Amino acid sequence: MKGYFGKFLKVDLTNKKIEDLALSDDDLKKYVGGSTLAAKLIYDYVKPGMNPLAPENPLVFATGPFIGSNIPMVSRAAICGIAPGSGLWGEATTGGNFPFRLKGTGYDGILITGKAAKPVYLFVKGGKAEFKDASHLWGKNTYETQEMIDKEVGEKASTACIGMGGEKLIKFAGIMNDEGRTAGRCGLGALMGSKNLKAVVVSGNQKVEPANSEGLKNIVNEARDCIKSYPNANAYKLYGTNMYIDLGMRLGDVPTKYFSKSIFPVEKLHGPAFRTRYNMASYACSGCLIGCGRIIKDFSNDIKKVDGPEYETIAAFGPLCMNFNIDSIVKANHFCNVQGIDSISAGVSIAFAMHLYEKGILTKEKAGMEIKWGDKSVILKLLEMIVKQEGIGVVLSKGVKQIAAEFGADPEEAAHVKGLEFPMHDPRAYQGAALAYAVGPRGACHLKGSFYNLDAPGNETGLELGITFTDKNDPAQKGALTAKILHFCELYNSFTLCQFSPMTAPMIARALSSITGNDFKTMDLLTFGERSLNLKRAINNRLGVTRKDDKLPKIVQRALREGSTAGIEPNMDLMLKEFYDVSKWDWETGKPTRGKLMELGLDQAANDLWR
Amino acid sequence: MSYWSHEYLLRNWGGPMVQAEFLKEAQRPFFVPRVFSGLNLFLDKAGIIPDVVDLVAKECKTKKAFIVTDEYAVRFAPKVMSPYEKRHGIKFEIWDKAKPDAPIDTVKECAGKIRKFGPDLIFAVGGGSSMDTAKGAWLLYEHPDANFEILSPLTPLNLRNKAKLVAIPTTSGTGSEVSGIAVISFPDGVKLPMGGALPEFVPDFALLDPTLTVGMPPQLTAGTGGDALAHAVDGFMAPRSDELNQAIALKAVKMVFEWLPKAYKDGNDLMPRIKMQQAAMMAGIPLCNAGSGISHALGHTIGGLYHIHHGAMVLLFLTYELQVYSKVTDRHLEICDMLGIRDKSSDEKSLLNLIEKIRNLMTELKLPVSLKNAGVSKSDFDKNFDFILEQTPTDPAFYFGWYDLTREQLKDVFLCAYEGKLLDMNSEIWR
Repeated sequence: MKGYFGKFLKVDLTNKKIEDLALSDDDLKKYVGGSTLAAKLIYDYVKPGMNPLAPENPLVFATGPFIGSNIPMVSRAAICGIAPGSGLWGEATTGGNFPFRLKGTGYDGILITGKAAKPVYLFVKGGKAEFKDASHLWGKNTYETQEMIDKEVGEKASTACIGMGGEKLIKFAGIMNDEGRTAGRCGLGALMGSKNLKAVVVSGNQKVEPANSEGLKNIVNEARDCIKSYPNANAYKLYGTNMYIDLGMRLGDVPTKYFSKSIFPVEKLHGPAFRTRYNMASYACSGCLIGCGRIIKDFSNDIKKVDGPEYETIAAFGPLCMNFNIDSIVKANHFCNVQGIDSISAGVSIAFAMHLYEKGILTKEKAGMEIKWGDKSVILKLLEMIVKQEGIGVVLSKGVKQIAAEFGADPEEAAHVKGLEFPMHDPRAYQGAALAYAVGPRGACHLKGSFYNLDAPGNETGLELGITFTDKNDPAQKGALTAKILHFCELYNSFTLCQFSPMTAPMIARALSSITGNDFKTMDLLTFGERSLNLKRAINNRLGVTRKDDKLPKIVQRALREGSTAGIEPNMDLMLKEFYDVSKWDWETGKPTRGKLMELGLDQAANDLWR
Repeated sequence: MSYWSHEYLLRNWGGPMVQAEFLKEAQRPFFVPRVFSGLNLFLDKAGIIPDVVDLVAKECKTKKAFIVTDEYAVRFAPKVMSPYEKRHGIKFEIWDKAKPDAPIDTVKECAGKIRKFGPDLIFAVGGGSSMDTAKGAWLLYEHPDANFEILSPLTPLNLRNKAKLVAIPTTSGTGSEVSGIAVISFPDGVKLPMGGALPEFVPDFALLDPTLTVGMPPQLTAGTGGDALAHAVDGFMAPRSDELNQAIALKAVKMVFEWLPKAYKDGNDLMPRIKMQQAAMMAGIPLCNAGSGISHALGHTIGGLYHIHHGAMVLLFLTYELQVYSKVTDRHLEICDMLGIRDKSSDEKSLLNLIEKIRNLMTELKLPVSLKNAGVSKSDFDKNFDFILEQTPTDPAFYFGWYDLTREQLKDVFLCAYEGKLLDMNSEIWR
């Protein structure tokens, strides 16, 4: 099919085997690419009770059909597997040049299984791949690793690698590429580490022909115009993702003091505060007209360059921990980059420790130190202990679900869904977002139910699909809207397209048609998304997920006593029922009904779930 | 009745979006009139350099101008009209029935008169109410179907097709002569600020003659001056305030502290009048371009309910606003720096220093520092307490502030304000 190379690189690390994995046109049409195609490939490896870190657990790097086209903001790659933290479906995406070069190798993606006998890295170029020894890189941080590999391969290449986080199998280890780009969530770095795979290095600029180059050209121009007139484009340029923090605070969307407050000294950490304090530049992924990435230059004598921090990191190490020292947030962010750990889960875990310390559940004796709110040196110390696996850092590195269990805390105080820590969007701010957290494919994920974006006034991205501006505090009909938003958001990690792209649904559908030659209608986006969501749900069901797991812990539901969300609790019962109803998920088991799975062409899943 | 201020979009998103730094960079309107101030703005004979009379008269093609004023300020009408009549042959009609708080029926009546006369220049002569009445009537003159209740900040006003506006203040406080807001009151007691999507209500000219403010009674000087201070501090602290607005606001704060006590002591001394007129005008600029604060929302409710001077009330609540805002911003420290009252070792102490400075001024001006002090009886206050708590959050000045106060927090502010006590920021509800 046009738009694809039609093959994945299949790598078996145990047996040092490398081969091509052909992809059928039917599968490409149905699963399109990225995380959805990855889910299709991973599905066959899923076995109930499987150990996420067992060698047979696959790790997939996948591109989508948009990559390689001139559509702006498409250099994204999905990295997927069964998440080491949750033991369920895991996916993360990253940007930079890596995704573009990954496709440039002549493959649509890479499927890796097995475990190398000793550390290796994989070098893929021009349709060929080879294993390279990484013994000398083991123990090196992510920046050192990338620099050393760059020198070794001696050409334009992008390296996606792990740091100490992945090597030590930390449950929220991420994968870093192009210096500071991160596939942060779901602990996929640990999956890589468990395979003794230090890095995946890709080089090349092979391209595929689109089916309709003239049509695509028009869409590219339209997309460029759309970005140029996108009101938020300049905001991203100026402040990066942290443009949101002050608006977010006012909306009650920035979790504060471990989800117990919402008002904080925002002027110490907002966009202008960073621009005033630091010498900053912006970073753009390949083909991006916006450049939301941040670079801090000459941060300190030891640190000449810092990538980020992003909004999520600032909020996680800032208000969530009641820390308003801007320098310490930058340091914490840099540490996470260097060691390759997810700053969201790390921040939430540390904030949880502070919360438990205040409650007296975690004592000075148990922790070996005082862990008080806002203590910047404690945050940095705990991060180090997490990565070095020292003292209390060992427990904190397992994420909040496990922390609660090991310290005997109320599990309802652990801010996670299905083992994935909450991101920095408070579920009390948008009723629909709360539901999306509960039923989303990878646990508490803000990208799958991005109400703060799609349901904001003036956003026209999903308008033609009926994704319209609603009263964020009203749970009525949020089940249906959330289903739609979840379905729609699936396309970003699959096609692949940056979630900050303002391209509207009809444009996206036309772009896919022009690239692949398939007639893809706007409404087909929802069908595709529903298929993707249900496929990932089926994986999770096979791994033991039931309706009982579709819930939020009390800590994030309890009404706050300040800010714009004071007194508001998500109406989970009402919304969940409606969501199950419109999604045709079985209320008893939490599985998509056989009929729904068959309707979406997921026959195998239907048979597996409803034997 | 349904007002724009109750709309979901504005109520829930207005404040957050006003606050968002990135939206500030999207589009920053900064509207000011052409301002002339001085003692010689109404001379019957032209001087050696071109003067304001010629500039303003150029806008009057029909040679018909209309004066909107009240029964007090109408005394200044002859002075205002004289040079225009003598030097440019402009004919005037005077309407002097403006009432406090600009009730909608007076606005409509005024608009009817304007329409009948058909001028292309409207002079608003008086305090805030006269100027706000003129603005409202001007809109109805241009657009007879305009619906004030739903005229939200999302709607363009589309003015200046028929007339332009000249504002001539006779008090020093409201800032209405430079502001794009008109506050109109409705029969059900609601006072609604309106300004449309862009500050088109900003007059074309603001003519500041200090002699028009001479002889104001001391308590009016104090109240209006208090209003100016509240505007300046609000305009500095408002989420949307930027460097441009802050620069003006900061200087205005300094001027009020310096000149208001003098203006209060001697109502006939021209120098303090000049300075306070300037300060009030300057404070009106950030008020218009950056917004006000919760002091206004709280002050509106109590002032409206007990008929206490607007300026006295907003100043009373200003100190509480500073405490409330200190949870999210430490901007007030810049005001402390400027006034030389910053305690470098403690931000908390600095805030208390600023509050003390404001309260000392209030005491000096014999303005109430508590509601009790302002003559509100406890039984009356208790009786109306629920209404007060319901009414305040519907005021746009409330939800365009830094963050939404809960009912519990609001209650605490009002109870403390009744006694004149400061908030305990370490208590459970504020911590």
